[in-house]
Amino acid sequence: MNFRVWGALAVAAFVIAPLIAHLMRRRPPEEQAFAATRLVPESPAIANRRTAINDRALFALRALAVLALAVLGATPLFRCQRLSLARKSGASVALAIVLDDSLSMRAQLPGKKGTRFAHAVDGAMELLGSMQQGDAVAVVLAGKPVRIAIAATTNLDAARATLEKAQPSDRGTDLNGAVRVASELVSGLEHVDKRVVVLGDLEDEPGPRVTLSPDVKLWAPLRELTGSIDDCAVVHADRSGSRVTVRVACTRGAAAAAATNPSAARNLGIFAGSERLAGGPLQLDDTAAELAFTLPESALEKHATTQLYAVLGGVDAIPSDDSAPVVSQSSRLRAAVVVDPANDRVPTGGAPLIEQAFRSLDLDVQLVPMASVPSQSEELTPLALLIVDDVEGFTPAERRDLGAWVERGGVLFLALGRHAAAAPLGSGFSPLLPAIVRWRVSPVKGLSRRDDALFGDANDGLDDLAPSGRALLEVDSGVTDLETLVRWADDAPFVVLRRIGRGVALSMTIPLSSQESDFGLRPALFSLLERVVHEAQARAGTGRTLVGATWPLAPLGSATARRLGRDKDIESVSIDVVAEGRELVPSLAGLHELVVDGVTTTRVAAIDEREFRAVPVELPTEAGESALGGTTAQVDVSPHVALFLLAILAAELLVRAAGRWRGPPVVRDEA
Amino acid sequence: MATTDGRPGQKLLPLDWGALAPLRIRAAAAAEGVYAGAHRSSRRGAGIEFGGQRPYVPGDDLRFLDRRSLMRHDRLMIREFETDTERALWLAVDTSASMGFRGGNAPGAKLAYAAVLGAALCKVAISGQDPVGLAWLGRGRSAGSSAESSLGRESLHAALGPAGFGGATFDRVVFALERVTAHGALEDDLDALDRQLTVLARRARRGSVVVLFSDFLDVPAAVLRRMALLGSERVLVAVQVLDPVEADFGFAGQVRLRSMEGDAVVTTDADRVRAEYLARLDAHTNEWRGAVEEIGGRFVRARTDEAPVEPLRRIVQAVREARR
Repeated sequence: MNFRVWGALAVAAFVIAPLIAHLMRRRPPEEQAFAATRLVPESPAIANRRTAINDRALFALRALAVLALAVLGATPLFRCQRLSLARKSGASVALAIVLDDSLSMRAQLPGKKGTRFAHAVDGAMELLGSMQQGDAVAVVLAGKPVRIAIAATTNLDAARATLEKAQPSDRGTDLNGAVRVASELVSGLEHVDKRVVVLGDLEDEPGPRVTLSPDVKLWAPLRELTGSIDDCAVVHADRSGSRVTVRVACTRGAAAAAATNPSAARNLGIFAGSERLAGGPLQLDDTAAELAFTLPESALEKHATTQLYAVLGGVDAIPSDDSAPVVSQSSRLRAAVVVDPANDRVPTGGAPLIEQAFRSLDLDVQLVPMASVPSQSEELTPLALLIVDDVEGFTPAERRDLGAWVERGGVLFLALGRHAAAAPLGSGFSPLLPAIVRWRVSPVKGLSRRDDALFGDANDGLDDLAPSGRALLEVDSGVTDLETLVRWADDAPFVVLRRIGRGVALSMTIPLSSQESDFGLRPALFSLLERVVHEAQARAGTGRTLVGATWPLAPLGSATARRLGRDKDIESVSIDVVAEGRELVPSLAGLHELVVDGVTTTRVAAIDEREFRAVPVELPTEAGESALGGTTAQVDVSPHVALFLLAILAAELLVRAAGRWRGPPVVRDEA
Repeated sequence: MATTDGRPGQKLLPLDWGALAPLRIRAAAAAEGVYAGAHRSSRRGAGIEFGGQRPYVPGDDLRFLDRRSLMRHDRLMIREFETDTERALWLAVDTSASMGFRGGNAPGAKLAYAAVLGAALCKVAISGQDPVGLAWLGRGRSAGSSAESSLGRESLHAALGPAGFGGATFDRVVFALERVTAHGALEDDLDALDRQLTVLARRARRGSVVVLFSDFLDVPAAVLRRMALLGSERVLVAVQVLDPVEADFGFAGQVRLRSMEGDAVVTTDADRVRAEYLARLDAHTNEWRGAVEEIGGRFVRARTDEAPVEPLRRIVQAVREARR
C-alpha cells in the first residue's frame, strides 16, 4: 500500500473513532439492581429522542464511511476478467512481452470487437497494470524482422507509452526469433523471476522448437488469439506488357474451404480505378496460386498512366491484404550470378548450388546467370545484386565500373577461393575489397560463435565447418571501414562488408563450390543469401521489398514518403532517423512514393507469402501454467476506496460547515 | 453497586458488610455515643409476676432455671416473669432482598447498617438493664442455616426466644445479626410475614419498645395494618435505612434498573427523572411516616453513609419522645 492508502486509513480512523464512540454511547444501558425501582419513572421519550436521526446527510455519510471501511478491510475484493501476473512470494518480476504485430494479427477476433492485435495490446496493457514498482519490462515485436520496442526497464510508464504507439503491420512472423531476443533481454537481469509472455497467434514458419534461457519461463496466456483464419491475399502482381501475373496466397483454412466448395471460389480482378480490366475465378494450387491475365489493348491505352491494382473479391478475415499494386515486371529485383560451371559443378547435376538456393528461397528475385563479370557498365545498371563466385580478380576497368555501380546502390557479393588468390597481375578486388587475397589451408575448424547475427539459428551447424582451404585477407593499410560480420574460430574474417556510397560489397573467404567446402549445403547459405537479397532490395531504386525491410534512402537533404492507397488515398508514412542516415521501414504493404533530394521514386512493399504457410509453434509445457498468471485477476481497489473515504470526509466537513452556517439544529423535545 | 448474575434477590449471597464489619466493635463504638441519658430499667423492682415457662435455650440465665421442672420432668425449663413497666427492646429487622443493596458510596449494605444500629441499640439497652429481643421480617437466611430454614421462623421459635438480659443476650443478638443475609421478597409470602408480625406483637409486651429496621421500599401495604397491632401500648420506632443512591438517586445518564423484589424493570434518563423520583420517594416515605405516627410511633430515616451514632441518637430521641 502506498502513502495514499495509509493516509486514507489514518483519516478514516479519525472518522470511525467518534462514530464508534457514538454507537457505544447509544448502546442499551446495562441493567442494574435497584431497590427503589418502583419509584423510578420511565422516560421513553428521552430514549427515543437519542436514537432519532437528526441529520440524515451526516448519517448517510457515516454509513458510507463504514461501508467503505468494510470494503477497504476486505480488499482485494473484486475479481474481473483481465490478464495479470501471479507472483511467487511477492518477488519482483522481469517480464519480456513478445507482441506479435504480423499480418495474421490483423484478423478480426471472432465474437469480440477489435482485431487480434488490439486484443494483444490490451492484454499487454493489463499485464503492465498488474506490475509493481521494481518489476522490469521489455517489449519485443515479433513481426519480421524482430524489433525491440523497448529494452528491459523498470519505467512502466515508458513501456506503456511504447505499447500505446504500437501499430499493426503487414509483416511476416518471426516468433522464434522474438522469443529468443526477449529471453536474452531479461536473462541478464538480477530478478529471480524472469518470464517471456507471448501475446500473439502462436504461429510461425516451420522451424526448430522455441528455445530460451533456462532461467526464463515462457507464458502464452491469450489462447483465444490462436486458431486458423480464413484469409487470402494478393502477394504481388507483376505486369509485363499486357500480361499481368498475380500471386495469391491463402491460409490453410481458406484453401480447405475453397477446395470443399468450389462454387464459392473468389474472383480476382485487375482494376484501373473502379474499372475492371480483366479477371477470373481464383483457383488455388495448395495454398497459393499464380494467375495470369491479359489486359485488352484498348484498356492499356486508356489507362496508360493509371496505377493498376489486383483485387481479390469476396470477404475474408483481413480485407486490407486483398489488393496489391500491379508493378512492372522490370521492377523485380534482378540478381546476376557469376559462376564458373567448371568450378561449381554439382555432382548430382542441375544448376549450380547458388541458383538452386535462390529458387528454393523464393525471394522474388529475377535471377540472371552469367559466365563472367559484365564488361559493360550498361549491363550492370539493371542489376541490383551481383554474386561472384571465386573469380581471379577484376580488371581495373571492371573494378571501376563495379565501384561506380555499387556507389549507386548495387550490392556485390564475392565468394573468394583459390582462384581469387591467383589473380593475375593488375587484377584485384580493390576498392570493393581493399585487401590482398591469399589461399591457405584453414588452421582451425568452424566459425566463431560470437557473431551469429548474420546466420542466426543456422550458425549452430558451423562449428565443424572444415573447408579444404580458406582465403586470407591482407587488408590494405589505412582501411578502417571494413566491417567483419562473421569470423572464423581463430578470429580471421569469414564475411566482411564494406559500404561504398549507397551500395555495399560483401566478401566471404570461402567459395560456394561444394568441392571446396560443404558450406553451400548448409542452412547458413540461405541466411546469407537472404541477407544480401535484402540489402539489394533495400537499395533497389524501383524494387519491391517485403514489408519490414529497411529502405536506406541516404538523402543528402530532405526525404519524404507517403503511401498510396488503391483509391488514391494518401497515408503518411513515418521516416525513421538513425545515426547512419535516413531510412524508411514500411510496415504496411502497398505502393509508396518517395521523394529523396527532390527525386521522386516509387517502391512497393509486399506482404511475405511465408506468413500464410505459418504453423502453430510448439511451446514448452510450462507456457500455459496458471502459476505464472491468469486472466482472472483480483484487483486491489484499496487506493480507490481510500480516495473515496477521503471524499466522504471532505463531504462530511462540508456538511458540518454548512450546518454550522445555518445555525444550531432545533432539538425537538418529544417528552 | 450491588448486582447479581440473575434476578436480584433470587440468589443467596453473603451480606456485603463492607466497612461496617466487625459488627461488635462498630456497635460498641456507636453505643458509646448515646449512653448519656439512658434510663435505668425498673424491672428488678416489686410487682414482678410469674409469667410462665418455656424451654431452655443455650445462653439463658441459669438463675431462672426451673429446678422443680428439672427434677420432676427431667426437662430444662426457664421461668419467665412479667411486669407492668417492662421496657424490653425488640429489634425487628427486615431481611428482604432489597436490604442487601449497597450503592457505590455506601460503606456497606443496608442490612449491615441496620445490624450495626440494632446491635448498638442492644448494647445501650443491655447497659440500661433492659431486656432485648430480636425478630426478623422476611425470608432472609442465616449464612449457616439450611436452605429450607428461614431466619424468621428460626429466630421466633428457637434461636432468640424472648427478650433477654445481659451480655449473653448481646452476644446472641450480635451472633444472629452477623449471620444474617438478605433474601426474597416480602410480598412473596404475605402469610408468613403476617405470622412474624403476630408473634412479634405477642412477644413484645406492653411498654416494649419495637424498633423496626427496613427500607420501606418494597414493604407491602398489609404491613401497615399490622402497625396498629405493634403500636398499641408499645413504643414503635420505624427506622428507614436508605442507601445514598436511593436517597439521592445518584445515577447519571441512561440507566436500566431492575427491582430487587419483583419483576419491575425501568429504563430511564436518570438526570431527567431525578426530581420526580425524589418527590415520589418523599411521598412514599411520608405515607409510612404518617401511618407510624398515627399509631403513636416515630419514623426515623437513616442513610448508610452517615456515621451510625447519628441515626442512633435520633432513634433514642424518638423513643423518648414516643414514651412521653
